Amino acid sequence: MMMTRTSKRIGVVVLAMAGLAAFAAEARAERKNPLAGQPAVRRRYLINRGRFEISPHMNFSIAADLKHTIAPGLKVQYHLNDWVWIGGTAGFGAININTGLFDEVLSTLPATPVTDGSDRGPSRDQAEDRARTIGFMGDVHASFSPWFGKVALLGRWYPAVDLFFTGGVGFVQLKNKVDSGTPDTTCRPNSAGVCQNAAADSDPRNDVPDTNSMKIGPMLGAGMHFWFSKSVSLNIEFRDYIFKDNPSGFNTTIEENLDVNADDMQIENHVFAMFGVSIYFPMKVKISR
Amino acid sequence: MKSRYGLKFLSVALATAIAASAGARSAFAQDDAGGDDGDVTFSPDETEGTPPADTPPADDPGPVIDDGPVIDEPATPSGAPAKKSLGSTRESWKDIIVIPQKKFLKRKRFELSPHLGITINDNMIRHFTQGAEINYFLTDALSIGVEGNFFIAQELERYNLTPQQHWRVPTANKYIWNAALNFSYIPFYGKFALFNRATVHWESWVAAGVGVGQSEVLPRDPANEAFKNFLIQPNVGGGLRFFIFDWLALHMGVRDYIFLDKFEATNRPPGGQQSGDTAKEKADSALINNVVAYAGLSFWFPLSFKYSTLR
Repeated sequence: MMMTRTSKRIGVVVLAMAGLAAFAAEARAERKNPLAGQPAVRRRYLINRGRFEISPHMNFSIAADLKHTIAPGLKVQYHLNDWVWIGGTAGFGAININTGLFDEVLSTLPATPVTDGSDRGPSRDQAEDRARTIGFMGDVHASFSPWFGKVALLGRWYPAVDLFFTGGVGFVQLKNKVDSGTPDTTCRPNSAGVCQNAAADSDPRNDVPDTNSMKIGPMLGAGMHFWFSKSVSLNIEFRDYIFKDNPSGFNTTIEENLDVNADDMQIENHVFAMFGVSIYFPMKVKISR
Repeated sequence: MKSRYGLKFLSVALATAIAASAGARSAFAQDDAGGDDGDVTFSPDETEGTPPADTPPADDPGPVIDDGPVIDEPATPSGAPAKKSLGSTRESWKDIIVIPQKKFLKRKRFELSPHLGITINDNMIRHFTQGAEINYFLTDALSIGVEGNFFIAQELERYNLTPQQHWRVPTANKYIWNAALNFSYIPFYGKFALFNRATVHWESWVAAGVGVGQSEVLPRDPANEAFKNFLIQPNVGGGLRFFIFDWLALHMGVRDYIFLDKFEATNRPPGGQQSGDTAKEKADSALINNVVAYAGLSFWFPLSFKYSTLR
């Protein structure tokens, strides 16, 4: 009888301890991170296959040599999936502004060419006419977005964001205001029998630079999207168009001669900042859980 | 005897109550947290028109996708907006904040950040910078700090081409060093998923400050003596931090140092006829924006931190 009572007591105590243990375990469970095992980004906008992005934008040149370019344009892209999209861009160099350096140089140049040899620099008009501007700029490209997420702005607004890299082939139409418009390609052999295309008079001021044509080269860039809504985002992008250029239109290879010819075109980087608003079609978007 | 039965009854009642309470709490907790299997509850306006998704396995870290359309404005059959019930599902979403538990706390910590930089808006002289900044965070979003940089000048092609193309030597200065007292504020904080797997926490800061610096003219005629300028330099900037460990972050930014600099006058006689001091007295002034982009590592002291709140 004594043994039975003791067993019952032990049973009751064990039951009570089991209850306490269950309570304690549950207390731990309550403190468990509710996001454990959840997606890295919840309710992400999915720009899945078949969605178009149309983005009116403005391009601004960065650290240009002689002429800043401001080019409004349009970008059209097709999203193959969430990570990769392809597209094309077209912009028009509506505004070309002299850089501070060019303004400073122009202010010191004579109004008319000096021919007595005392100043071998160009006149103001010669320098202005030969400084090339950008008429059209565009590209075909593919973009890749490995990063996406959300950002808290002032703790109140939570736009979705992504970061992408882009690359492709760029097309840039250069323009100058030299009258003849076409570079002199006549072969004029020098003493060594090598063609000197330009008039070999060692005066670059009467030559025509090869900056009245379309230049093609690689384009590389990176950017971000900030989504205002499911179908509209802010697009900030930096692009580098790499192509042969001669911004001043004068001789760059004085080792060979002073004349302006094809050798004076050199591969240069042309960095642009692009700010645009992207609109997505269809406008309804799937959202991840 | 009565006492013994009373104790026994009390023990049984206590055990039953605790077990029942634990069971009830367990069921409630499952509703509240959505469980560990990735099955997430949605409020009515989030689920209307959305077919139920399959429940993923518990160890599946990837996202679960709803294939149904998203309804922007919830509506009842009569067309009126649906009333938002404050049931358990709504409460469960409220319980999860957008960016839960910041991965990195900065309040009352020091940041030591050595960095390398480059000027990005000068088409004639490129400067490489090497420097460091020390920031003390008064709060998680507000800091005060000092920075110092040394500049190394590099002549760009345009600087050398201008004399041979336009027969004019450009006027330019090079920068030697600068230092500043800065205040920064962090308005943006977020996280990125890299390839939909790893999560990277980051923040964006804006800053303003005032400092001093020194520049030196590059004489157009090498025979002329150079002179140096002492500069008062306000600055504004912005940048990013990507948090790697509790004590380490990747730090990058752009600062615009705005100052009035003195340049060699265009009519300075050649051949060393004018001393540096005289040339400085006759120098032309111009407002300069020196924009520097830089990147570096941030080391944080103390090396670790503790959360004081659940979130």
